[in-house]
Amino acid sequence: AVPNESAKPAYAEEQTILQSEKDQPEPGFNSSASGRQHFDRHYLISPGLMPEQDVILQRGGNTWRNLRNGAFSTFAGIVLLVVPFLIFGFYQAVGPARVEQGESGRRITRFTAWERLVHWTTAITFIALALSGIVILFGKKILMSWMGHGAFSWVAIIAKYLHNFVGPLFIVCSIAMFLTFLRRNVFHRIDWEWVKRGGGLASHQHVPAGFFNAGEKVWFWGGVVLLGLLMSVTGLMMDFPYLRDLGNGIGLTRYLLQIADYLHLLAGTMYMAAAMGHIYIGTWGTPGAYDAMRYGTVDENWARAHHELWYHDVMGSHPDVPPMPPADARRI
Amino acid sequence: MKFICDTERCIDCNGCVTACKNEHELPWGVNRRRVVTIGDGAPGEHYMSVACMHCTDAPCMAVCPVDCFYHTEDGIVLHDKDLCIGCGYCSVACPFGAPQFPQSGAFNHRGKMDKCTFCAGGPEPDTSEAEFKKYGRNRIAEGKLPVCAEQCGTKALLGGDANAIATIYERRVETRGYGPELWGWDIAYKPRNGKPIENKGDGPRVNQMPGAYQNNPRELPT
Amino acid sequence: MNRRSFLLRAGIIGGAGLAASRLPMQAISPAEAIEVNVPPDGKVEVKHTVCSHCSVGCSVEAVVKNGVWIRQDTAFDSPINLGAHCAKGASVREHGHGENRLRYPMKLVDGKYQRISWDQAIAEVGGKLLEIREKSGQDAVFWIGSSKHNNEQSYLLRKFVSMWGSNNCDHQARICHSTTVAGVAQTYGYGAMTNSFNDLHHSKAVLFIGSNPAEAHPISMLHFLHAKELGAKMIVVDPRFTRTARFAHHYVRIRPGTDIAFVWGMLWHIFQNGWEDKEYIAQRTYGLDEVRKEVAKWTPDKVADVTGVPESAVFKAAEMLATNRPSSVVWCMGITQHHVGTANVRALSILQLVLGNIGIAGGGANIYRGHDNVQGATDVGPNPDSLPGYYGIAEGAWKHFATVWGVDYQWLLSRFASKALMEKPGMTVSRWFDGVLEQKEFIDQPSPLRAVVYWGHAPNSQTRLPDMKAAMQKLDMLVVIDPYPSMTAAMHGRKDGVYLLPAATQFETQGSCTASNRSIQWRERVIQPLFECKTDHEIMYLFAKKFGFADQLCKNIKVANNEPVIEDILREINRSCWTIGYTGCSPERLKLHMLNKHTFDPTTLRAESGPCKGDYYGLPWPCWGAPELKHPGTPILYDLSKPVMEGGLPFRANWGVEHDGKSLLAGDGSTNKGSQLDVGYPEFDHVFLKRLGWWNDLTPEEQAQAEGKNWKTDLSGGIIRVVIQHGCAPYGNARARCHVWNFPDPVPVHREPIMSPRRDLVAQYPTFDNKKAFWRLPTLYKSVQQVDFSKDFPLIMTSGRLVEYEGGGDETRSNPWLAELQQAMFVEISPVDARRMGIAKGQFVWVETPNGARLKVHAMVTPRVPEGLVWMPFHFGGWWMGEDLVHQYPEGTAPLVRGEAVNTGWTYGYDAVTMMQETKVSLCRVVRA
Ligand SMILES: Nc1nc2c(c(=O)[nH]1)N[C@H]1C(S)=C(S)[C@@H](COP(=O)(O)OP(=O)(O)OC[C@H]3O[C@@H](n4cnc5c(=O)[nH]c(N)nc54)[C@H](O)[C@@H]3O)O[C@H]1N2
Ligand SMILES: Nc1nc2c(c(=O)[nH]1)N[C@H]1C(S)=C(S)[C@@H](COP(=O)(O)OP(=O)(O)OC[C@H]3O[C@@H](n4cnc5c(=O)[nH]c(N)nc54)[C@H](O)[C@@H]3O)O[C@H]1N2
Ligand code: HEM
Ligand code: HEM
Ligand code: SF4
Ligand code: SF4
Ligand code: SF4
Ligand code: SF4
Ligand code: SF4
Ligand SMILES: [Mo]
Repeated sequence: AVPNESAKPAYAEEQTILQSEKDQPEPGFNSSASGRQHFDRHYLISPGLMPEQDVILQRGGNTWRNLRNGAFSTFAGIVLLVVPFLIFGFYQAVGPARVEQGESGRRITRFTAWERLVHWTTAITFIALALSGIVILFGKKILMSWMGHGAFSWVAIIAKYLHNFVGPLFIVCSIAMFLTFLRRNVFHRIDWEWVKRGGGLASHQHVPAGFFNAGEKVWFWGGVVLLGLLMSVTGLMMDFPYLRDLGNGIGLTRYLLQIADYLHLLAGTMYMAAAMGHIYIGTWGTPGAYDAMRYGTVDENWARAHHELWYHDVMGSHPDVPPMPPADARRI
Repeated sequence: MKFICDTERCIDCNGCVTACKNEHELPWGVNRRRVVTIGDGAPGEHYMSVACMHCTDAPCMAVCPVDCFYHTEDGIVLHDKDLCIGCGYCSVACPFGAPQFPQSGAFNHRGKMDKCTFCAGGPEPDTSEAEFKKYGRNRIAEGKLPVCAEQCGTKALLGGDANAIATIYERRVETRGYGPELWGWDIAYKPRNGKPIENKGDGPRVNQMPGAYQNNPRELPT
Repeated sequence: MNRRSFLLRAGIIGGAGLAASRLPMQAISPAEAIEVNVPPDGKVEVKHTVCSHCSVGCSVEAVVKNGVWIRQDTAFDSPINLGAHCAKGASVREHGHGENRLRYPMKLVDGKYQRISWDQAIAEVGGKLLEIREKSGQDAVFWIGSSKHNNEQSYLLRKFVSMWGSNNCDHQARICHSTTVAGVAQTYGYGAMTNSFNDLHHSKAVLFIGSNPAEAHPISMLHFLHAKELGAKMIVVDPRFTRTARFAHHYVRIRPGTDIAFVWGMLWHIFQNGWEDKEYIAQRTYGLDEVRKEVAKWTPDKVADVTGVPESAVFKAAEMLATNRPSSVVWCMGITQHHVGTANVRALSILQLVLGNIGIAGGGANIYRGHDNVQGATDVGPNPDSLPGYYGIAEGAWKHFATVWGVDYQWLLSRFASKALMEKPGMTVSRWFDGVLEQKEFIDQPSPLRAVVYWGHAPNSQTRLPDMKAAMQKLDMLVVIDPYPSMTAAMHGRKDGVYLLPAATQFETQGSCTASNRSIQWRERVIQPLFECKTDHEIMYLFAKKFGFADQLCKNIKVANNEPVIEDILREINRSCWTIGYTGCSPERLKLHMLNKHTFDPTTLRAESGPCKGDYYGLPWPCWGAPELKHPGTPILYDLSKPVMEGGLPFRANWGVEHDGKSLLAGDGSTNKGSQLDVGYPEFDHVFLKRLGWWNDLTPEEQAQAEGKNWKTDLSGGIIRVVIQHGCAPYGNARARCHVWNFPDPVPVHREPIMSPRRDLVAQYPTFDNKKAFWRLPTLYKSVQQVDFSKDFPLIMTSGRLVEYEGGGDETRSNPWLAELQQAMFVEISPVDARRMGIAKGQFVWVETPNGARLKVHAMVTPRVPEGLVWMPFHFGGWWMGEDLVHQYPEGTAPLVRGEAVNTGWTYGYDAVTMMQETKVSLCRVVRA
């Protein structure tokens, strides 16, 4: 490429076109048009696969390019690099939330096979999406330089197809997950207590909690539900960019695709960051938790320590049993 | 290398579009060039033929996840179809709607991107069979200019070296005695006979001197 | 020169088209272009041909390798198009693929098309025709020729039909510019465009009336826009704000069918202000006083009432045109396609006479013609009322051609049913189906039609398709000879008796074609006929063999492999068509022009150097005398400023020397430069020549041939040669007729359209009386106009062209590069009407018309059309009132894009002179689908 540092993206051609278009009303914020719409001689049936033949100049594209390549990807990059460090630091500083009593040897069932299936598929698809998404976003910076153009292109093609087809699968999984865990994620007063004490994460206290504690519920609502919804909607928009005419003039335009990408990128970053936290907590952060995911059963003591209320529910024991002494919890 | 579409000339005849299709044997659905009507059916209507503008600082190039675009030494923006993954980012970024895709399947299934090459082919060896199949003809390597501009019905479409076509355009404006009333026009271009350009479409042509070349119909203005 | 600097240079020239005298043309010639990559296996040749889609005549340089048409090069060298093309011209190479073409002869058996051999096709079709001829006479067959044929094929077809023994042949010109040809010829002398597209460079104002060149003659705009940039004023008169109107300084929206009132309104102001060219009128026109009387009636208020144009707009148009001279008038279908088409044309011809604009550079009646060779087919082709060269069909004409063809007049006569029928004009293509359906006793020939041969003509270009369909079913046989099946193959609804014979296109043959400006260009054969296609002249020859007159047909023409040699046909034209000077344009001269295009000046069309030095490009006819005379052609008709030998001409003396006691010859002193006769003079014959003492200038051989002959029939060409040497025009020097006493309206008068919504005006300006036998058929006027359709059909309907498609559209709708650009038939409807009817852009609507048809089309809501008027393109076909006929076509030949044909719904109405169909005004209603 011939470098031309001083070139500005406001091209002479753009100027000409803008001038020719001067009598046309600019689409407002409430319009989904990507630029001023004109008359398209290729009338009535879209001639090509190119959407918006009747728009000469769309100016969102360059803004998108600037933000996506600039602020948004910088933000995403920083978040995705910094969060693992923070988690590692946290792990170093605070350490995992162990169960003081050690294992009782008696197992109680926490997740059914179905629940595990749902969780695993969600987890795997998520990771596939995250990795392939990162390849799409950062691959040319981080992979291409050492892989070479040709090889990276194949990686990118695989990543793209993976991402495009796994995306909808992930949505199905997320919906299954939502339905499966919904009942147990309703907030109760007791969760407020958990929140106030920060879940005892840093203090290594075991705050009494039901089947899921407030932190998990936040992950459920904020992550799976909210970010999941955002990712799904924006992802679907980008997956089916040619859904142009849904009647009443509703259809995808480049403007909407740009907005979709902004949201997808930001939400994806948040989601990935949050997922890192979740995965940390579900593995090294909370020894024994991974068993629940893996085998569906947990040790009685683990249950009692982390989800005390649920434990009593399951054991049929009295909820007034005094809480376990946090005594030697600090000794690790 | 640049294009200018002279909207005071373009008659929306689509010659440029089919010349391109013909020269590069493009399939149904891929239009490297298109002509858009501004202000349909009302006074002030005009037409504009648009294709890839071969941007100096090209948005498509910037967003392509596989970096498959490149600038040629002539400043033409080309891309490598072997690398392209068909993600469509370039079309989302391109101000002019230049990138085209042969498919419109679900799951963002688009096939390899195709766009105006300024008739300069692609990365394959110049004028090779492989290049032709993927990118169409490489007229530039043959020493020819874009076929759309060469065969434009009214010579509205100018394609070539930026300065050369700017000069042609400038001369036209002088001849007409009025410009496209563009922003900055009066600053950028000074008529040769020194007077400011002040005529609108139907006024008397005060800028033209009787003996000046513009009044010589033997010479087609370019 | 390195590549970049080369491009820099080429950039100026290529992008610019060219700057004729400033930059050397060679810079873009192949010699300097960097070598094209030629694979070692094939020879790359460039064939020079001409776009076959309209009369502008743009050059195409076809690159051919191993017999395959691989590319289209830019024909920068042509002074007509300077390399430019519209969508159609830039995509003609698709003809070399021909994916949807007819591949082999086919026959309809039990409702399905079956492949047959050529031998079988000729035997069966020929046999059946002979049988019909036997039983019902020669005139029971109607031959529809084509303006797509080159001059030689057109000429041969007229000869073929003559030897078949009938005048029942016609072609597109009937429904195109027949009214122009009749009206202009009767006024000035020749029925053709007077100047050229290039000559518009000289115009200071141009009036486009009923013409939309931006879509219909796009490359003409290259020249006009040049004039406009030099300051020419532009006036557009059209009911629709067309893509041409967008460029106008003054756009006038007129009610369709009221052009005479408008033109008289303009003349009213011109006379009022004394803008007329008084000297010109005195010297060169006849009968203008009659016109003044009619014009005086058209006071501004009346004009405004009838045309819907306010006085100020009429005044402005008149002022612009009259005060910026030389000014030119361009007209086209908006003028010709009316029941008063000929009168319309005459009004405009008179307007230009009044302004003294005829016969000068930058002026003229620039009639943009239609098909690529409609001018040539009109000049020398299958016309029902004339032999080639406008000789007519009186006995003298037959004798002239009997001599040229080398056959005996008595033999020719014996081919016809009778001498009366031999000298009676045939039917017209616009009405052939009435010749089938009409009761026998009302048809002015022995038998109704029993077979029709569509030889390069679409059916959906004629109106009243439901009637046509009924006629098709009644016929004994329907034959299509065409590269494409055309809608004929799909719409007839028959089970048998249909034959489709694959013809070659104009790129698969060679020959000359005449552009709108009368320039004759030579097309080289680009490729051999695809599939089993045969060239039209070969098919003619095969049928002639079957009919038993092949020897007579090709008496003076060599035949190679069943193909009459094109050059020989042209030489025969050269030897016969003296009237219009198709005599100087020998194949050799035309080929030389084609190969030396770059030597012609794009403004004057004159070669300044090279082997054609002095010639005008394509030897625009009349190119007088034998080729050896080296007449350069006539770039501007009726131009007195040049000697006849250099392309000058006066008006033609075709109607005697005086009428009603007034002289028809030009005023004293009004003659061509260099003329030895300083007065008006009649046309030349042997007597006149002797009287002038010029007889001895003829060689003895010439004298022998010219004795007893006139300039038109002297086969030696001697009379013409001598007359021109004396600076005179062979056809005399007369006045242009403002008063044409032999027309229904000697001075044009406004008559309301047959389908008029203005019932008050119908009473005031009624149409003609019904005619009993007009071109062999009863023809209705008043009795149709008297019915008030406007109550049920409130919208005015008009039709026209889209740049991507041509004519009935079968060729262009089968070309994917074009078809993709217009994928659906539509109706333009104004936002006001659309809102009232609740119609949104893109919805399907039904257009219902008084002939009972309903067309299912998309609505295109646009202010391009005014309230109360709808417009439809006429290129679509392949649907029938809502039903797609795709399965009725032979397999694989249906056009890519099909749609409702507007003419399915088009109504009755025919010009009172030429039987032109009234396709620019009718009525309809639009309902939501
Ligand atoms: N692309 C393309 N080009 C073509 C052809 C084609 O089929 N396609 N065909 C060729 C042929 S055969 C021909 S004859 C020419 C025709 O060329 P044109 O005549 O220029 O084309 P049309 O569109 O038929 O009609 C011209 C205009 O007449 C207007 N009009 C309708 N009624 C009236 C009226 O009463 N008065 C006036 N003043 N105007 C009226 C219409 O609105 C229309 O815009 O084009 C030739 N060129
Ligand atoms: N409503 C309405 N009707 C109109 C008009 C209008 O404005 N409005 N315009 C009228 C006018 S001006 C015209 S000229 C007509 C045009 O109408 P048509 O002339 O009927 O239409 P085309 O499709 O051009 O028909 C030409 C045919 O010739 C075939 N052809 C091409 N080349 C060759 C060849 O070399 N040999 C043979 N044998 N065939 C060949 C083509 O395939 C095509 O089928 O339509 C008229 N009809
Ligand atoms: C490989 C990575 C992952 C690991 C190791 C992991 C681990 C765990 C573990 C151990 C639990 C059980 C916690 C408990 O028993 O209370 C759990 C619960 C859960 N996980 Fe994961 N997880 C992973 C990825 C994901 C992903 C990608 C998602 C969703 C996008 C997800 C959503 C959930 C949900 C919704 C719950 C239940 C908590 C609740 O509903 O509040 N997990 N995870
Ligand atoms: C939830 C986890 C997901 C993550 C972390 C994720 C991440 C990403 C990232 C980082 C990108 C690149 C953005 C850019 O380069 O600007 C991307 C693009 C994309 N994502 Fe996702 N995404 C997720 C889910 C989905 C889902 C559920 C879908 C679809 C249903 C989807 C469809 C897409 C599409 C279509 C693209 C455009 C890229 C292409 O087509 O190649 N994504 N995603
Ligand atoms: S594709 Fe678009 S962004 Fe890229 S160079 Fe062409 S016009 Fe510019
Ligand atoms: S579609 Fe191809 S060229 Fe366009 S951005 Fe994606 S990879 Fe790059
Ligand atoms: S420059 Fe070449 S590739 Fe680009 S639009 Fe023109 S013809 Fe097509
Ligand atoms: S060929 Fe020229 S005039 Fe025709 S649409 Fe294209 S740019 Fe406009
Ligand atoms: S259709 Fe007419 S204007 Fe267009 S390229 Fe052919 S000849 Fe020229
Ligand atoms: Mo026509």
